Amino acid sequence: MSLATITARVGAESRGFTRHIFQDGAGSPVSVLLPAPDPLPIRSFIGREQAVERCAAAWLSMGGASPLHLRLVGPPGVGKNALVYHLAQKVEQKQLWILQGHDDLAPEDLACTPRIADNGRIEYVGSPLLAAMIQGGICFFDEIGKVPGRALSLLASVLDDRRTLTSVLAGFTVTASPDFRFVAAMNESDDVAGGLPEYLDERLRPVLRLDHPPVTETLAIVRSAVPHAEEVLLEAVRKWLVSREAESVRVSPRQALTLLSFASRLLLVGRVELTPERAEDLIQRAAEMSVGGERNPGAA
Amino acid sequence: MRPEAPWIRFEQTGLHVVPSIHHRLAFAHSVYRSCYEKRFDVIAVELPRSLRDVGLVESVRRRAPVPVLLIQPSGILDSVELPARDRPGGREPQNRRVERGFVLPITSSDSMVMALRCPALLQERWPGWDPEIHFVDAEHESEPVRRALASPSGLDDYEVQVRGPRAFWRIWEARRGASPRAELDEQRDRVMAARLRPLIDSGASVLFVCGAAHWPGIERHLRSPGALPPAEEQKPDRRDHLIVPVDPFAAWLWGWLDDLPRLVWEFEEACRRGPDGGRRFDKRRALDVIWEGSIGEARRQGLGVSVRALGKMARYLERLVAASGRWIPELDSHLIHAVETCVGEAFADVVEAQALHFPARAGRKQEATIHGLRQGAYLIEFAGRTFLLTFPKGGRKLVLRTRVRPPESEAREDSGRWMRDWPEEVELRRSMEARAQRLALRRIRPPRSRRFAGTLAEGPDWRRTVRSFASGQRQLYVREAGPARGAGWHPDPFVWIFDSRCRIVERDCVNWERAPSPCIATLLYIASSRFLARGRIRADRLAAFTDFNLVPPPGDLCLEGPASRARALRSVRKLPHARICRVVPWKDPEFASFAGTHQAIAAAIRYASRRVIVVAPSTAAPDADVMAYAKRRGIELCRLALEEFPVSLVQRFRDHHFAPSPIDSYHAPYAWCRKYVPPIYG
Repeated sequence: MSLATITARVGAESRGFTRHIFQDGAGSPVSVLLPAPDPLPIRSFIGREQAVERCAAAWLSMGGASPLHLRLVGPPGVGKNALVYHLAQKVEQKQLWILQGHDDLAPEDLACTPRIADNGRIEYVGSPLLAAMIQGGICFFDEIGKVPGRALSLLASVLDDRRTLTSVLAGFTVTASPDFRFVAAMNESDDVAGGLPEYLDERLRPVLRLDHPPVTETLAIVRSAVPHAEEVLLEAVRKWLVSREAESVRVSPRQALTLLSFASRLLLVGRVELTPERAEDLIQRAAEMSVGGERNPGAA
Repeated sequence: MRPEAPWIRFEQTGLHVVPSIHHRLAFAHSVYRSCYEKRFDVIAVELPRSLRDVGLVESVRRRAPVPVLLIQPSGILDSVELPARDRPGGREPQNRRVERGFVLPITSSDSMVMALRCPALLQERWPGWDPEIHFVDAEHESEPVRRALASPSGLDDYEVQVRGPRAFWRIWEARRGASPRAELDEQRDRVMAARLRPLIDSGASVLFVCGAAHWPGIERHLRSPGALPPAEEQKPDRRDHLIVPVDPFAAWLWGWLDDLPRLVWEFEEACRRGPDGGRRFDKRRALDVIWEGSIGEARRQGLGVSVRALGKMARYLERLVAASGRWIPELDSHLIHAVETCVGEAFADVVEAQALHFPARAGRKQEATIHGLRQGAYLIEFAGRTFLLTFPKGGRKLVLRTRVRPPESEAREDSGRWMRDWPEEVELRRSMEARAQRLALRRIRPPRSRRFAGTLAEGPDWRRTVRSFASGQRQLYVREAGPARGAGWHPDPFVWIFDSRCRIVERDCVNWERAPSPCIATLLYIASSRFLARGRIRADRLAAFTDFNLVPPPGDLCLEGPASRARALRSVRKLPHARICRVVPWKDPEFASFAGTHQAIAAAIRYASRRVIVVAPSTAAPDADVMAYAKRRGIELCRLALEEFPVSLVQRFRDHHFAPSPIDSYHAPYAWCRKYVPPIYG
């Protein structure tokens, strides 16, 4: 049924939820609380120009045809989420709702779930997907590969040309705003180990694969995220990254960032003067403790 | 509105110019359209006169559309060692005496070549048309051979047909900016202007085809005739020239056959259909031929390409091309990328083959042999002579799709004694079996809902709770412990039957695998075969497969080398005898009564402790003998329909078993395997 026009801001007790009134199949009003968009981290985005262009191209609305829904696949920590935040902030300039996938997600969690209110009555809480569809924002379904196949069945109508979401529980159907965009992310291991159900696999295409960025890009990301890091420490991180790459071990930007942050903290605790040798040793120790790195043969 | 003329007319004279980017189809088409629209008295091209004297015009008309190189040797350059992989019959270093020379690539996507061919191609349009052919360029030897340059800043050269030549070249100049010109080029501009002047003054209608970089200079000199130099010069001796046919793929690789050779071929076909066919040719519409060919080929290969995936691909490709400001997709960044991401890699291979299809070639024996050297240099062997082809730095960067090869350590270990697995296959099998186990357990123990009694168990049953509230009971319901989650270790044997009706031609037993469980006996049944390549090559298809799952993963054991293999064996021997399975069921009298793929189930029953999970097509009826055998041994048979698993994964599951070694280790004549076996890596 169509979306009713009644929209009201709910008080502080609902923590930023917005109340929407729908009409169910019998024409009766159904009140649903919609969550506020997720706050986006403020950080610079480095590299991945081609991926950004391709995502933006897929989300173009051309000749009345609806935009395509994307799937990002890649190893953990390579910047799938960062890419989505960048798209939301800088490219599309839309609000972002994040739907976190996990293996206990149920079909109704994608539309709305009931809860017992203080007055003992049942009230419905909309999902981030529902909110994004109504408000015309981006829904980012993170870790979609971890969700059981049957829990994803509601997505079928959202991701094809119908662009509708039906809540069997609350009895309404919503059609997505023309500005609604959808992107899902999954780890490479989930993709290899079975991927998505077939009916969804084709609806969530194109599949953009993100691999580990080159060392220079990883270093630029790290440098930008930890602007006050000691230069000598950054150089030690660079050497460590290069040595890992020489051993065909790929280090993700997230791992490199963890490494540098941890090494900086170790440095504060140690209170010693930082020489290049000490920096390399520090990075090596930090690597062993934080990212499970082995001894760096180059530094040995 | 009448479309703009495909030429630029110089002032109000009879000189009609088609400035071009060499080897780009859009400009060859512009030349064809020009000749279709106007019966020129003279055709002038930017080539030195000495080339005409050696019969280039006749040679071009006779050999087109086969890509050839005209090589004019100009001396011995050096001695070059052939790359090891190209040394025939051994590893001894071979030095070749290498010559250098003037190289002129001649391909049917080049505008100058088209200008020379047009009088022959358009005889139906202009009967008896025999224009004068003038080669107006200065003699030069030192110009390096170049890759064809794509337009700067992504300006698609198809724009020349959309906007017309004047507007196109204005944008092109603006985007390219000023670039320094060599003295030789300035000299050539002057010479060409001097040779065009008498043609203009004669009042004849002239079609002049030249490189776009030359036209502004020539135009400037034509406007100030006082600066023209004497046009006569000494011609070099070109009698020693060679016409060298090359593989069209090499011509494309060097940038001399447009972006998509198939479209060049379609243009040839259109010209062959008649003058009107060539004039009406549209590069964008010709793309449909690639799709039609690809879909047909995919059907022949049995690739499942769905209409929805194709639709997605078409929409994505349209957006990619539009976002990059182009009309025609680029091969890798647009066409293949869209196909790979929306349909799949196997179909991308088909599309790539269709896009690069250019059947005009001289035949392998008549073609030059090409050896790729480092840093973009090539040795061209032809008629007992060897020439060096190098490209200057810069120019168009060709990005080719490359598959990621397996790590060198993986490729090295190829003794052939132990069948090797690769992690993706193990993960896929584990995940398929975990999925099968979940389905089986759900069937055995369906989840139940019960009243809340202090623990949430598997979580609230919202639907039943809401119904309860609606009916006034106000009771919370929770789900009882359902099937086990995760893809952890599970001891149930699995039998996968993909095709129960096929004729079994071969059986094999693989006893060893690598991580995560190195000592698992795995039984393979191989089904009837498809015969390929005129019946000489057999492609096997997996019919059934039993995974006994008998040995728990013993940690970090591996089978690299005798010591670790011995450790693995010691580990296996500690296990109870019944848990060690190295059976060859077709030799065991106990299984003799079971036919075909049922032997796989029987073997699994024999070694199972409580249950066997059988995944088979829903149409495959359970065999009474097998059921009775299971009952006798007290084993529960849990049957699942194969249709409950995604087709693509089942397909991949079947294919994986026939790629036991890295794909790159296949050598001729088995290189065809690459086409039929999905890639392991990348």
